[in-house]
Amino acid sequence: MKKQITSIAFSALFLSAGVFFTGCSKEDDKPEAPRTFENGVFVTNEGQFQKGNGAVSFINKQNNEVERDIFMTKNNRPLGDVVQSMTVHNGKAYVVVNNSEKIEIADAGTFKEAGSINGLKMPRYAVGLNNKLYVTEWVSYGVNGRVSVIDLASNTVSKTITVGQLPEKVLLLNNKLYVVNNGENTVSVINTATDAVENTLVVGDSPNSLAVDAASNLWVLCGGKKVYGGAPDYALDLNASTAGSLVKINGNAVENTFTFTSKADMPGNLAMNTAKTKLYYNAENKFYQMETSASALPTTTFINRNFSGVGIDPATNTIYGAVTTSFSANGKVIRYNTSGAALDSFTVAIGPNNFLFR
Amino acid sequence: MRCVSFLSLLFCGVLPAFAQQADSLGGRKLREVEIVARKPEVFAAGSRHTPIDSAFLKNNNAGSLADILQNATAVYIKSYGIASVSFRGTTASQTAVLWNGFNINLPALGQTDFSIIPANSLGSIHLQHGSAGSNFGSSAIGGAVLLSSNTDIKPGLSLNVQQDFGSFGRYFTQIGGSYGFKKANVDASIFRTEAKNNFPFINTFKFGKPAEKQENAATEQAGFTANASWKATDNSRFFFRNWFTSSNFQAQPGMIAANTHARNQNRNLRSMAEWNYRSGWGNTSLKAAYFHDFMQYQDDNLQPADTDIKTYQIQAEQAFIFREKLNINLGAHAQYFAGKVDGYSQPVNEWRNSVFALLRYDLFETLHLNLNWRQAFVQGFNPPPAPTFGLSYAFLNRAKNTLSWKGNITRGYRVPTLNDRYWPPGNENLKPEESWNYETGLVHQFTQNQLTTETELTVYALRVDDWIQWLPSAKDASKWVPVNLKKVHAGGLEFSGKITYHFSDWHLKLNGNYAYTRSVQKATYLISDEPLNRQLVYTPLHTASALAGLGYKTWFLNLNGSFTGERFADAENEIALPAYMLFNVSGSKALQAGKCRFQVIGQINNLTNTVYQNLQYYARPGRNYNLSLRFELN
Repeated sequence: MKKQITSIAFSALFLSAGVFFTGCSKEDDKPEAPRTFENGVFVTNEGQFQKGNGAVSFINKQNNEVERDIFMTKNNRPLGDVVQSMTVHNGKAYVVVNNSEKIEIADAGTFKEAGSINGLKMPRYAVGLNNKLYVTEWVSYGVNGRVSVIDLASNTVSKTITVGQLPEKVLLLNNKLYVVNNGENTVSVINTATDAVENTLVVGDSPNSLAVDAASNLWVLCGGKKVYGGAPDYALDLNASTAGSLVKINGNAVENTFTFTSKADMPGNLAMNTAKTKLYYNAENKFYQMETSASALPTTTFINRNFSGVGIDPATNTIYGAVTTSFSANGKVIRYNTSGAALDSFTVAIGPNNFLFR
Repeated sequence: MRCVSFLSLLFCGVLPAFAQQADSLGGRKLREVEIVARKPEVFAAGSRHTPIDSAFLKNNNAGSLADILQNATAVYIKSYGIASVSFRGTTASQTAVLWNGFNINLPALGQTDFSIIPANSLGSIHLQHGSAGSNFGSSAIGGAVLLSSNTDIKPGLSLNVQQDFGSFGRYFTQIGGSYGFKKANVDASIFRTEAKNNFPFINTFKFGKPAEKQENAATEQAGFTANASWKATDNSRFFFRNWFTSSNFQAQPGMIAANTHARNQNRNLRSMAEWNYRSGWGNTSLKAAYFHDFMQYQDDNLQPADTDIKTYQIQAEQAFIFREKLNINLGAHAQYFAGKVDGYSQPVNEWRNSVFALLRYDLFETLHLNLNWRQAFVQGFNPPPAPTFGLSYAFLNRAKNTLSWKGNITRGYRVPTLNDRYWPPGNENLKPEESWNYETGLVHQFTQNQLTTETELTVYALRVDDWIQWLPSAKDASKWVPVNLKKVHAGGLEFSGKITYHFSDWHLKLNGNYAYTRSVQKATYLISDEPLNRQLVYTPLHTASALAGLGYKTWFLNLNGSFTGERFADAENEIALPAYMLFNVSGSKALQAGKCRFQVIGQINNLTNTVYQNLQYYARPGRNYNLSLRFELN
């Protein structure tokens, strides 16, 4: 891949008035042996907005090697602008590329390109079911978002379902699709048999992530509404803002709401361990662990770090925390054991945000 | 004026400092010259200075300033609809752009989009490399682009009409005229240009590599210039200059991004008045300027965002000349911004003032010394003082050959932009950027009969500290704040060569520029993950341009090449964009009938139909054509 100018010769005009650049040649692209992406972790990396440098990295769990941009390596072209998330369904990887308004499809084992789904409006997250793929799309700001149903036989949109504003993460549970609407305070519940919204649950302001526990309760983490005041300091308007909350839903009813103390903070990155008994999330730039049976939010810090994305390995319960300090340099992933001690770290691409375990 | 043209033949672009030296030696004959504004290079002895060939500027007047600089210099132009210019491994916002001595960088962004500066509005263009442009004020860290209005007005009436037709729906129309009285000149021109820019390309970055036509890259622009000068008395002269452009540019999406129908509208009015008065003391100059910059950005996902800023400036400068050897200029400059910017949530006002003292001592005919000092005062915080020391010494000074050694040390500074200062939540600890620029070099000039050559080699080291960059806020990653992030060391060399040769009806002109630029981050003051000691993003090690012109009577043929070396798209230096070369060729024929002159210019751009990317993933047009029809009445 690496291209080099092997020689550039300049001879100035006053010396010779002829051609004064010669010899730009490129090294041939070296063919690489086919590799499969198994027993490892896919990391989606947003990349810098408008730069088209989003990537899917792969951390090989056997030898701890990282391939920074596997789509580029395998297909000699970039994924696109703002790689938001990915899902694997029926052996195919569906990578949601937000600002390219598309989903790139690749073989999940080889990451060789296998098509693309176009015409999406600000797509965010996707999940597959049978021969369908559900994709949340913001569409625009200040309007209702939608969930597009993709027919995977033709890779085209077969139906769109209007949901709340800024629909984000999705979760499939008992043939129902739960969609958090980050621009408001609701979760849309879509019946996957009819592909219609059958219920809208009211949660806290700005839900951003969700998880299901061992007893099939749905947990929804809400960031809280943030309203900023005017000049001169543009401070957060605490009267108009609301604190974040963690909402436990049993069936279609809110069973419990744990409200955070800070109105300034935006909790996020809700994750669940394999046994579905422990919740994890970020709040106040720290990372917390909470038993699903707890009666209050934890007060002791589990890991003293903020993450731009969190994943928990279903095989080992190892915690993967993504760290993004700027969008002008590669980010990293830090691994922690089940007691929150750091194990090791890997450099991935710019703006790591989501994990997918294989 | 005769002496000036003689001098420009001798020294133009090689060591402009000589020009002033000879001016003062030339004495009374040059009074007419003295009364116009001081030349930018006079107080930048020993620094590198590049004038743009005026014939090249005139032939390519239908393009933008970005096109001119791309083809005629070795500075790096980043171009993707918007175009920015960077010198010596710095960034676009570390480049000062001055129009008749006043900085025209957009105050909110702190930089200039060179794609919306029409070349036809400019009388001359000079580049000041390095921080030496700091004697004009803020932002000249890497260099300065000095633009001047047309001052060469002939007596009597002249008219000109121009119509261009180009590929991809490109049209350019201009009508201008001037009238020179005994004591006054007036000139005015209006123009309009548009381009569809719907060029075809293969999108190798999409599944199936489809053939596409570029979408959302159309441009429209119109504007006028109107200037007047009045010689009130033998010792006193007034200038009035006005320049307006209105641009409506679609923002070309990258090959990987969705078309969100982004569009940028700019309206820029620049007006200034200047009074020059000569007394026994020397020259007095008073200048006042009013700029109104309006910008509106919009796309499918955003409400239109307006930036509306009025800038008021006044500058007073007194030149003292002692025994025609020592020049001392003392001056003060005041600048006031009144801005309404969507995103600041309240109007902002800010004063930026400075005082300066400029000294030039022509100790001998061959030795010139220069010492400047400037101190800016900015509401809320003050940048460091900006001294300059420069010298040039012609150690070989023969009839045919002149060889000079030059050197310059300058401290430059850049006051944060209004966005840096007022975009919420902001950073109240933000400091101005500062730089130290060290350069030295040799200048050789040779004249024999009809042949002249001019060559110049400069090496430099540039140290930039408190470099400002925007990062996600530590408190809230969704909010970005400007921080004094890093220290950057740049170094390199700049070479230029020029040959002109006249032989009966033939004339030949060859011109080449090359720059080697190394620029790396040496220290970081906050964790940004950008590695140290790697070449900064989008900073090619090698850039070059060359121009060859051959004229015979009223025929002219021009070949022009530019080379952009490999550059990295990422801070880690793992993603390298391939180098590319572009060639343009043009031919022209002029017909003169009495006072009327008719000229046809045909041009082929990207002659070799090279597929290249200037910015990663942005398509660029292949081979394209332009026809220019021009009529002049003198």
